[in-house]
Amino acid sequence: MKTFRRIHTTLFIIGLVATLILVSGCQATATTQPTTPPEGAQATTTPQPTTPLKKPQELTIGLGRNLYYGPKKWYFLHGSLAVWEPLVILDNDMVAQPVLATSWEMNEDGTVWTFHLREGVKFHDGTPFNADAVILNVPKLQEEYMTTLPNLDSLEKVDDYTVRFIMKEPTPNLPQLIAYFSSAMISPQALGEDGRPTAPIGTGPFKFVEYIEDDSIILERNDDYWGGPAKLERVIFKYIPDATTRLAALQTGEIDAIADVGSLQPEQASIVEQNPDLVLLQQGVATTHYLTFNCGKPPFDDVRLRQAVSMVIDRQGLVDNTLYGFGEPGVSVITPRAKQWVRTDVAPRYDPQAAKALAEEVLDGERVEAKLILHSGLLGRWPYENISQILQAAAAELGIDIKIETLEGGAWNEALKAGDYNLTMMPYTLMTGDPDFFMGRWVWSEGDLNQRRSYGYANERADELVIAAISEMDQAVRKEYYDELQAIVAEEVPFTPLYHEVTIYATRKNVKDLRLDVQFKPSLDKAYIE
Amino acid sequence: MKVRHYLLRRVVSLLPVIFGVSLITFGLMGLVPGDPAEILASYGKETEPTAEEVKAVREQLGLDLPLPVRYARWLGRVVRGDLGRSLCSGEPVWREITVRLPATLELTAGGMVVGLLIALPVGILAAVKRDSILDQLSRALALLGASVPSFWLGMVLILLFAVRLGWLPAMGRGGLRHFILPSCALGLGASAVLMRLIRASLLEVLEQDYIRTARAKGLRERATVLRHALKPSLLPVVTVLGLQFGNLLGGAVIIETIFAWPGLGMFIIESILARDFPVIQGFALFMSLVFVATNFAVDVAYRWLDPRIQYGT
Repeated sequence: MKTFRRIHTTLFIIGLVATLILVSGCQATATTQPTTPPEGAQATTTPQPTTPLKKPQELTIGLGRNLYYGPKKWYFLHGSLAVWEPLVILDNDMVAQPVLATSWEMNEDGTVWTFHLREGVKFHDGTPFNADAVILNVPKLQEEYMTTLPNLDSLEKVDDYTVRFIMKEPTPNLPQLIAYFSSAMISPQALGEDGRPTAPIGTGPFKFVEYIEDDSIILERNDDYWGGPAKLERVIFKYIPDATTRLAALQTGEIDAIADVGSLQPEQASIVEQNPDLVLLQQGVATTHYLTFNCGKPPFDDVRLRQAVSMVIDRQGLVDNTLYGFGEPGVSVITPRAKQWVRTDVAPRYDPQAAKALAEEVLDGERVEAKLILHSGLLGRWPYENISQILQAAAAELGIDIKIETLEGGAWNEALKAGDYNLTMMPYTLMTGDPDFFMGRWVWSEGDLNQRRSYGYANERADELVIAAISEMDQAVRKEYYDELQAIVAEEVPFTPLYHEVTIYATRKNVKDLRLDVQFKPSLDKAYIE
Repeated sequence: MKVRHYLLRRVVSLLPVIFGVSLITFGLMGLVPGDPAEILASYGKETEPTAEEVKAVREQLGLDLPLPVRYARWLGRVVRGDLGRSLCSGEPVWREITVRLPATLELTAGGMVVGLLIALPVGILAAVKRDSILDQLSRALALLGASVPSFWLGMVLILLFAVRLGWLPAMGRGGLRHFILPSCALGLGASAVLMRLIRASLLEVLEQDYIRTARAKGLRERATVLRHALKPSLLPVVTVLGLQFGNLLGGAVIIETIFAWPGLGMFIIESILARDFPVIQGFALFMSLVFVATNFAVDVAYRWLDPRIQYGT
């Protein structure tokens, strides 16, 4: 009887283990590099298409975030959906280009900007676009978007297609400030009693049709678009929160593209590249990832230790190892996408020997502790965990013992506010393409982010430069100011750029001309299905 | 007479439950770290809000008022039937919940059906053929179902049946085919407990006197088991089913996220992270109702399964 029991138990354990191996074998084959498929399986990884044939010009894009905001947000929908259009947009060099405004000029002291509007444009509900629409949209939009337009005094209608922006202070960079989200135009007919939009009726190449909660946003071509009708008839944005499922859906053909910032992870790139039905694309975007210090308390109140830490980071190695090569090592706190402003000759250098020497000078053989806090919500999108571990190892050589703590978003914000940290990492996007959007918020001692995040950085000369540059009319002089600011920041390292983001995205082979721009806006107006 | 009294007592018992749950939820949300105004001001914004924007949001939403005051205001509105509006989307809370409810109900039902489809036959066979190979296998299956993490199972199913074989869609909510994989991923986990419970409970019932009587009468074994033993053995199973139903309805978050199934689970997690208080409170209220209703249904089922049970005892 005992032997019988023992045989039974042994068989049971063997059976269990065998099942587990079999099942995990299936998983390994499917997720990572293609290994020899289990016996009996097909030779290729291309699945048999079982989804019904789509209508010819319908594109389904899978994203990791929900781009529908609802009536609480002025524009209802994210700009990527091409339903509403702004007056001005930034091109891939981050220079303002005409959309609903065709040209603009500034008066002598930069306090009055005159915008000439595009004629013959209609909103999706037939209302004509003109100066009245701009005047109804901008002031309310300003309430929502105080960040970029704090200076607006009033708007003046000159005639049906000319509007004047009257500013409180000289504002030489107004077109940059109102680009994209800050000048979203919604049809006056769609504005309710409180002046807020009740529906996303814009002028764009696509019309909003339907929103299925947390599932998808359905758009239809605007045949009367002023720029000529798009090739696609329908566009569906699907919200797929899990990265693995998103790629699986692309592989099965349930979606035609993954095209948004952070929607395709660097480690998934090889799967896309090895699949003959998929195309991998990349685009440098205006987001930079920074390592920031709390300069207000030890050990990083000493500039030399900050410099040492910055020098011990191998940024190229970081990009190669944690991003699989999809990224640009940080050159400046200003993104290289802002071509006319970025300074590339003060790039942080990788010099572990010099770093050690510098740290030795300060610490003299002692060791110090530092707390690095991470925002848990960001970890799924960017390899901060890996980077922080690399940093931890490198800093240990300097005598700095870094303790890594992951905090939930709200707690992370609180810790920053209280100054209860020594280091952290975060992304920041230069929305306006204008350096003040960074310098005025991060570097200026009274900058809102400098204060709310306890960067603890204050440099008199930097403050002078920031204030002078905001209202400087001469572009050349402005460039000098921002050049000097970038040099100061590179020298004093209150924060340092780790890498500039390169967004990777993928489409199925038959999707043509779908490209992301520097603000991750897909070219829906040009794309088509072959 | 008795039944009506019983019903009334159950409905009345609802009130302290709802009150208690909402109070605790409100209190907990107050303890959560982070400035809700800052988090809400960041929602849907492409860049970090300025200090003025945060201040404006704080005042607009009354977040600067003390917690008890905010709770009282909320309670006052709820009593009048107004659950308020979502701080993130601006839509009414009631609508946000009910719009996503069918999706979650589907998934819950699917998961439980699959769970029962696996658990019932396996559990019964395991009990009837006790200590046989089948019984051992069922034990292994239950162990597997209980230990395998649902997200892993979900992903494996997707990679195998959708990507590799192309038999079923990988994600989303649509027709019957979209329904199969997520239900299986949920069902296997649910079946584990049920399987063991059915087996144990059935074994116990099979020892009963009235079963011996049935056998003595000459009734075939199959009929004995299925007609006389099964129903009463399902009592503990029904309790667990009720609990599982409540849990699953609260959102099988992981499965919903993996399969991009637009249900309540995903929505609530996002609302919590975004500090969308009216939605969180509304959801807590909703779940209290669900649990009380489920418990009541379980009690009714008890009576049907075993007529010896009286109400009120």
